[in-house]
Amino acid sequence: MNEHSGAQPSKTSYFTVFLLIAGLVFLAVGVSFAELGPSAVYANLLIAGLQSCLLGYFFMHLKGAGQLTWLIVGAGLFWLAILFALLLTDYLTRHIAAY
Amino acid sequence: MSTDSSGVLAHHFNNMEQQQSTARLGMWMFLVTEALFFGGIFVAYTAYRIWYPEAFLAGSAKLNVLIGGINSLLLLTSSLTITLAIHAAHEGKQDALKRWLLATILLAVAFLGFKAREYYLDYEEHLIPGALFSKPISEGEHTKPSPAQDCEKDNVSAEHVQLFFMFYYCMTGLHVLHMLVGIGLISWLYLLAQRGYFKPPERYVYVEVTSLYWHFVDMMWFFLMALLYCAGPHTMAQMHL
Amino acid sequence: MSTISALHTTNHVKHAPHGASHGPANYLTAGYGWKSWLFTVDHKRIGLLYLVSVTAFFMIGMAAAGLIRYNLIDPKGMLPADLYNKVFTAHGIVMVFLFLVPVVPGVLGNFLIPIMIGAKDLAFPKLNLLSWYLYMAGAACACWALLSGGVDTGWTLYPPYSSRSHTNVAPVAVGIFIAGFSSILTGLNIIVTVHQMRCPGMTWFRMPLFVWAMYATSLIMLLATPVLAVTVTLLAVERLAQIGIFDPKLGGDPLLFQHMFWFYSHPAVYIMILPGMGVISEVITCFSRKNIFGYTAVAWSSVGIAVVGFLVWGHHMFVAGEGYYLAMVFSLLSMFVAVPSAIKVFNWTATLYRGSITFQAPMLYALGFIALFTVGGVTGLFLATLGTDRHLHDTYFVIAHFHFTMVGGMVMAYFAGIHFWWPKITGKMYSDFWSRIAAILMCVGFFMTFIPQFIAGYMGLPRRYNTYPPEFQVLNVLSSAGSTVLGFAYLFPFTYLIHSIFYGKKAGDNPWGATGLEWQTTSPPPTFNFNYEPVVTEMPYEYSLATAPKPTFSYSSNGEAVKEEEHTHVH
Repeated sequence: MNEHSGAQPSKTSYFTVFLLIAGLVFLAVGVSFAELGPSAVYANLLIAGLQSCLLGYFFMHLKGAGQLTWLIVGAGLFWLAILFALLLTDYLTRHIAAY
Repeated sequence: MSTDSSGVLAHHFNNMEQQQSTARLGMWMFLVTEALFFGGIFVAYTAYRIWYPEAFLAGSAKLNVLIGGINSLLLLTSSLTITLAIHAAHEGKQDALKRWLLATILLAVAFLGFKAREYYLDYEEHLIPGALFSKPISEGEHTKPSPAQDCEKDNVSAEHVQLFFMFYYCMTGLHVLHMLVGIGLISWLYLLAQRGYFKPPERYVYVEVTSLYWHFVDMMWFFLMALLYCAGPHTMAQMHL
Repeated sequence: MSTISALHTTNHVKHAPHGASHGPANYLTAGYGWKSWLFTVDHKRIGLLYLVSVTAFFMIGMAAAGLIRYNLIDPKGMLPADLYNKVFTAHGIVMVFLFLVPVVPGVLGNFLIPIMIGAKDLAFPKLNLLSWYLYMAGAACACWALLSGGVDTGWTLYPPYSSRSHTNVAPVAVGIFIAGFSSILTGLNIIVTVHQMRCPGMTWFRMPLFVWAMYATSLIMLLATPVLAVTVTLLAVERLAQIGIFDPKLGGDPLLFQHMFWFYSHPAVYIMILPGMGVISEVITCFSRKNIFGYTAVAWSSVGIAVVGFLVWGHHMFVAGEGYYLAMVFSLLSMFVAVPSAIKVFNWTATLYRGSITFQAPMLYALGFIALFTVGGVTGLFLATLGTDRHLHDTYFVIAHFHFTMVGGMVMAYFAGIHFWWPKITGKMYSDFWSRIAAILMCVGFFMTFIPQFIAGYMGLPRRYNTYPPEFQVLNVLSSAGSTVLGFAYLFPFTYLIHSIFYGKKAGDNPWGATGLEWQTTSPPPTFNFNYEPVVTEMPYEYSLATAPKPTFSYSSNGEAVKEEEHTHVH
């Protein structure tokens, strides 16, 4: 199911990814100075998402991992989506004027 | 593939490949539970941020994004070093393994050091929900307005900003707890390495599963940065240690 | 037709440890003394550790139930209101978190899953032991909190009352957290085991339906429990810091707690019932000597319940202030979740049709399950409908609904499983006569206890009050009388099962003549489960084949146990 018994990614690839994610850290801090207002959240989450994808794919060896591992990651994301979508729907549709 | 003469293969497995992939699977499953654990508090945070956007941005603006950024880089570097540790274990290089594990631990401890400093600064600025939030900050001769007074000046609700800070402390606190566990695990790996546990290279997988946990903790930090620190507007004047 | 080699990943066969043939005969004799039990990593012994502890907590929960029913004999209440609040809270917390959630995964799941898939142990044996210790630690913390001062918020711990109540909410939250962690690790262990440790020939669609059910249960345990963990953590922080996340004083929303709480607690009811459904599939097929009708449908329905069960939690909050649009969505989804359960009931019934049915205790319990769970499930539809729920929410109708599914369903399924696999676990057979009497008495007691509650709830009797208007007294007294019968009935298995350990006849490998790998090893099984390398070549439940196993245990006309033949293992 997992075929990791042999090949490991190269060290160079690790350093490249490291620099990419570090760059995104600087970008994230920079965005916080940009005064985007409430829509800053989209940029913030996009950056965090990119950092996580890079970290997951390269450092956590999702690249080259078996189907089952990807299924597990997919299931985790799917269930998080259920939690967020249904719960936040209440907060998006319920009027807070009552409070 | 491998006959077991050194006690590496556990009694209930048929071969090393099965044992290794089982360890990895187990850790990935555990990470899914951690994702839902953090997800729970993230969704609660998001619910309130939808209801009180200005207050949450105002709260975020008070956070020290310099320390946040430094911590991001420290944790990211520790992710790199632990990944290099897997490499070393896989190639049977005991000294390199120990070096990279130690580096990871030191970077993590540095993170905690900066975090402690940050919490202290937050305390100095009375950014703690409760009675302290409304107390003016005395700095020798003059007093600075309390955070509650700042909220009034900026026309945001002080209660809601305190709600933001409850989340800030709970979320970063949970993260710190996870880091402490991680440091404990990596230290244990280091001790095992000292005792030659990783001489059989098949055992690299235990460094790998620990690294999976550690990378997850790093990932959570990226999202904490994004949601807590980077939300509100910051100025250069805040960039101090 | 053998497809062994494609799945066999070794190039040498692992035999039982050297000396096994003159070593201990089975897992019970493999070591004596408390250390061999408290430090065991054998999944079968850990299953027995769970058996002892869940039984103890079941009794504590029953004692609380007895006090509740005692209080409700009189309209003015026999206990003071504060004490009554603490008693029903204790009943809920103990029964839900310390009994219903861990019982089948911990006892039967632990014991049977590796054997059923032909493995030597679970994937992570030491983690399994840790699970038990965490369960005990969490239970100790929760019980201490409940008994030394108590909690009076109800098992649902709703803020803002739970943030401010001067009772032991924080320690109970900690206890629930720790026990929840145990649940997560058990689920993790089971899922990885089913993926990784199946023996050659044991494909997914040759697995017993009990394993499918346990897999689905484990998915829920893994995915839902962490959200409960963070919810009770936030509640505990709120209490200790005296600053609210759910407290309206700070602009917090009490409904947020309810969302997060029920995100776990609704799927939790499927954690409780799915393993029971798995047991029923095994028992129904064996005691009608027939293949399950619609194996694939039943297997996938378990997964379906697990998935759809996560989409319906809002039906607990219809009158709490949830947004109307979302309430409509949850109501519709709640209708859908009934479908996979119904599929199971239809398939079990079709399995019974034209089967050679015998009515030993496991079968009596299973039949009781089908009837009672169906009633419980159908009454859930009234609660899922927005209009009727407005009237029925927080009444005894709800209480009767979940007791029908949990007690009439889950507890009966658990007893079915215990009675079915007892000969395998202990190697001894219990009294056929007393077991059937107990099953019937339990059904009678159950009906007496909970049918009046449906009626009272429909007539408007609210729950969680120690007093009630006098016109409800007849129903309440009937219910309390029934609970006495039910409690009395529970004593029967306790007695004859323990009696059988010492005085029961040897059961033999396969007293029921059931299919499944667990019946092809000795009773009790050896420490590493099999004295040979199991290889699976058949579909499960092949009772119709000429080579199907035959029951080896029967009772002669005067009730004496007669062993017809000793079947040795062989596939």
